[in-house]
Amino acid sequence: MKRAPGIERLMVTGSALTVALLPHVGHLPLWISTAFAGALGWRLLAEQRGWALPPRGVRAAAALAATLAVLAGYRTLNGLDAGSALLSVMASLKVLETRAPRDHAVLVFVGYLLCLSTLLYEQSLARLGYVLVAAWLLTAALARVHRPVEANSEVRPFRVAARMLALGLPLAAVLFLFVPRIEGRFWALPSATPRHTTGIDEEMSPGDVAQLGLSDEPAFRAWFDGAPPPPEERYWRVLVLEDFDGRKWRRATSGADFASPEVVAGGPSYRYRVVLEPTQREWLAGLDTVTEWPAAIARRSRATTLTHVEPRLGERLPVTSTLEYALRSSTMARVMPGSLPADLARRDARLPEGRSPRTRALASELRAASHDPREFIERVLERFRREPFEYTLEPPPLGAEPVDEFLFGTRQGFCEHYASAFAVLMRAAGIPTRVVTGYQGGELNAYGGYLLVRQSSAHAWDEVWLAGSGWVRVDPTAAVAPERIRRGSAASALGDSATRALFTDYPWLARAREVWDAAHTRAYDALVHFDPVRQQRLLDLLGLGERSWQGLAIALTVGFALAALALAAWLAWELRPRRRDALAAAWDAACARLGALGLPRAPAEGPLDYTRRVAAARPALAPAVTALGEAYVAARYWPGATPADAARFQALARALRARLRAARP
Amino acid sequence: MGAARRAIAERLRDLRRAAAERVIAWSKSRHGPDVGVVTVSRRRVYILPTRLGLAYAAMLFAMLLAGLNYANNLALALTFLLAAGGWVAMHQCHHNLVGLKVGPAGTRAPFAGDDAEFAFTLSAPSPRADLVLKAGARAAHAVSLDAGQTASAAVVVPTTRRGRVRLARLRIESTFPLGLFTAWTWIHGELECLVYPRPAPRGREGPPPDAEPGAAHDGRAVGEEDFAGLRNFRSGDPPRRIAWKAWARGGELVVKEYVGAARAPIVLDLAAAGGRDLEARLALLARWIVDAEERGDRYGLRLPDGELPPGTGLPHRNRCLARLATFALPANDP
Repeated sequence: MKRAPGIERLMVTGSALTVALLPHVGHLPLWISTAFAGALGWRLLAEQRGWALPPRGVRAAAALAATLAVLAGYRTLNGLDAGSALLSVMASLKVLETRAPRDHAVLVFVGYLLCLSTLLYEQSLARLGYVLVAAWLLTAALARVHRPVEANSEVRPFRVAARMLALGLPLAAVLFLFVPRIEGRFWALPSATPRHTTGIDEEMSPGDVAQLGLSDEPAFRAWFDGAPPPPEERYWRVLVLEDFDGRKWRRATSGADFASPEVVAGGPSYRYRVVLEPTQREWLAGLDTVTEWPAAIARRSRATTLTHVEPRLGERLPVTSTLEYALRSSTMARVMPGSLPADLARRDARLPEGRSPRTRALASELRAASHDPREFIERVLERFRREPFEYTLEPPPLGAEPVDEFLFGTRQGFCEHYASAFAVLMRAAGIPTRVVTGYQGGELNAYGGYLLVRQSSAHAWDEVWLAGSGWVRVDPTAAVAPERIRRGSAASALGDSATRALFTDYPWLARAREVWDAAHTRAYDALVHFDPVRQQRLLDLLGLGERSWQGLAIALTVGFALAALALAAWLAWELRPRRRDALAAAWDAACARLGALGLPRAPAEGPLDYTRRVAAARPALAPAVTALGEAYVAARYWPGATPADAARFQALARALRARLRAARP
Repeated sequence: MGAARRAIAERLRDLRRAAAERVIAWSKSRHGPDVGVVTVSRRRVYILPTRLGLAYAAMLFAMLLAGLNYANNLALALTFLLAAGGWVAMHQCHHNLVGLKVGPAGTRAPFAGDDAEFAFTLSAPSPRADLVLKAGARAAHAVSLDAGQTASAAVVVPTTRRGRVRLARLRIESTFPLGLFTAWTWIHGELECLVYPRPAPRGREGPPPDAEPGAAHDGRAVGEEDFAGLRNFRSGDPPRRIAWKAWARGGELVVKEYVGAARAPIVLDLAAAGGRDLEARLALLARWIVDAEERGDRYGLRLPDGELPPGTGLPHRNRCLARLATFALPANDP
């Protein structure tokens, strides 16, 4: 039995719209998603059972109520969150009254806009792929609805839509490359509320973390001009933690402003470009001592503190989409080697009163046995090495005095435990010390030529201030688990989980992952990071770089014209007259040959009439021509004709051709 | 107030109609009157965005602004892809009509008050989708074609009285594939279709005349004829003469022939039909013709301006009705 066209249309449009709406379910209030599902279900049932649709007054009231509900929920109708909520509500209401093609078209348009807002929420290739599928389904729904109801041909809207979008690709590419981008926004809208944050936390409290979650998600990628630093130098700073309350390390809230630090560059200098994955936080990552920041970021950050307090984008400007920036760093620079301002020295050597008594005692004991701070540091690290400290990602939780309990009790922990304990020991001995969190490591992707740093490379270490050297990096974890530093990942230092074992056991799998990441990164870079600067670079390449606006206009016009011409040519070729069947072609050829004898076939003359006439005019040809006409009629019109009849006709036609050719003088 | 608005609306409608007439006249002057099979050339296909197409453009513009505002390249990519899809749709819509071959395929004359049907054959060298034939505001079913296939479609024109009805032009349009554009072409055919007078209601007027007194025309008369043999079926043969049993045995459609149809033919005479006026009398005559044909009688027609010799069969019936349709029509009547 054939389904009614109404329900089939509703199902096509409804499922396309559902696909478009699905990515929003995560951030939409539950009642909106439920309302949509309910409305669609009810509408399908109503179509099947022939129920009446809600009257106009009810619909208007529902629309008003829903709009007010969205307004109450978001306190605005402006911006991405409220906008997508409103679109989803409108979709639900429209579904209720969908009947005419026009209603379907409105639903499809709402679906397109939902696709757009999916991408506005997050730019990722996976999302783009998903949205393209949704756009294809929506276009198919539009194609399905806009066929005349009684169309007598097979309905293939999905094919039609796929072909249309595929043929549009070159045109879309030209538009993408040459439609001018603008800097900044011309209409400020509230940005989406950040969802889950990733990356480095703003606080560190080793005793409270029972298990460190390690994700293989990329944190950022870095492209180096020239060789990247060796693995043991790959310390990426993100945050500096200076306030300690006996349990928790926090960013400094006091005495943060000081004069531009003195930096004495030394060692190799690296120029590189970082593409940071979105974290929903303000912090950026940079290799060790950053000596040059891009002006745009420096302006927004606390300019004086750039090189060695954490760089950041600025308050209320979290990294919501991938961020690209170029830096210059030095791995052996000396920061503030001359002197440390007294207030800073005081702050960075402060410990909460009365906390961690055993650790303090140990510090004074070791300090008394040492001649200078360097020897003291060496003794502390020696202790970590000698005593049975264990590096683990699942340490036992710690009680009221986490540092004492760790140093003298459990002796199990990961980088945060060691960095924290080390800093407390240093401060107890009066040495200014701070905890730095960030990433240590990075895999070189040979195919993409970049360093990929994953979240699993998150790390914490210390910096101590020594007169003459300035801030010096000390990584106590290296003393306990040198493997962690060499491999650049907390996870791989500790035996392998099932998935990681897969990559270790099958190197080709790891290589495949590397190739995929390189390809993805490249595509992502080309698509998402195509900004005015790159557009200008492209124009320069085309020799249109001088006058950028005119250049763009020329490139856009010419490019679009060329793409449109190519499209028109392709369509014309596709719609070219198709070849007639071989039988008709052979008959036409035979007629043309006989016609050349001075006996052209009249337009309305049937095969038998014609061959009879030719036979009468040319008795010599009579048997051949008569047989030819009869064979043609048999092959073409006889109800039981088989391919053998066609073959017989073809043979006769060939024989006639040979004969005519031989007869020619 | 209401009257004023109505007047404005009317004026607007007049203006629109006048504009449409001008466009059509201009198009006709470009292509001339069309005779026989017409191949739709590129220059006689017109295309405009539909309302939906304009809405689509507005939506794309909004999407473009959003993409630029958020400097979101993927959103822009989606917008451009949809825009390019719309452009492709425009080409496909236009191509759907170019190269189409349209030829008149006869008309089917209705009784006055029914719809006159103008048939056309459509063929194209490549596949076509969803072509809608229109006469005035009335659309026929959509037609799709495979490459090289010939299909026929008919448009209908309403009629009110007997005579002739004219189809000044045929409009073939298509909104394939998305309904964003509508492409159309006009075939300026000047086709005519006869309109038969509507037969008078059965039994209201006098009985059918017995042209020849004494000649029976009851059912028995047929039975008295002598069976003479079978011949092949020709269109127009009365169904009751078909040898259904022979056909059911798997044979061809053949018709039984009789000789010595002894019954004398009847002659239906306008003069014998009584009525208020000429139209009523013609209606009665039409009723007689239809009834006589249904009974399988042999019948002739006698009008003041001429006579049709007795005959039978659908073609004969239609010839008779056609004479009634055109009888005493004013010269300038269409």
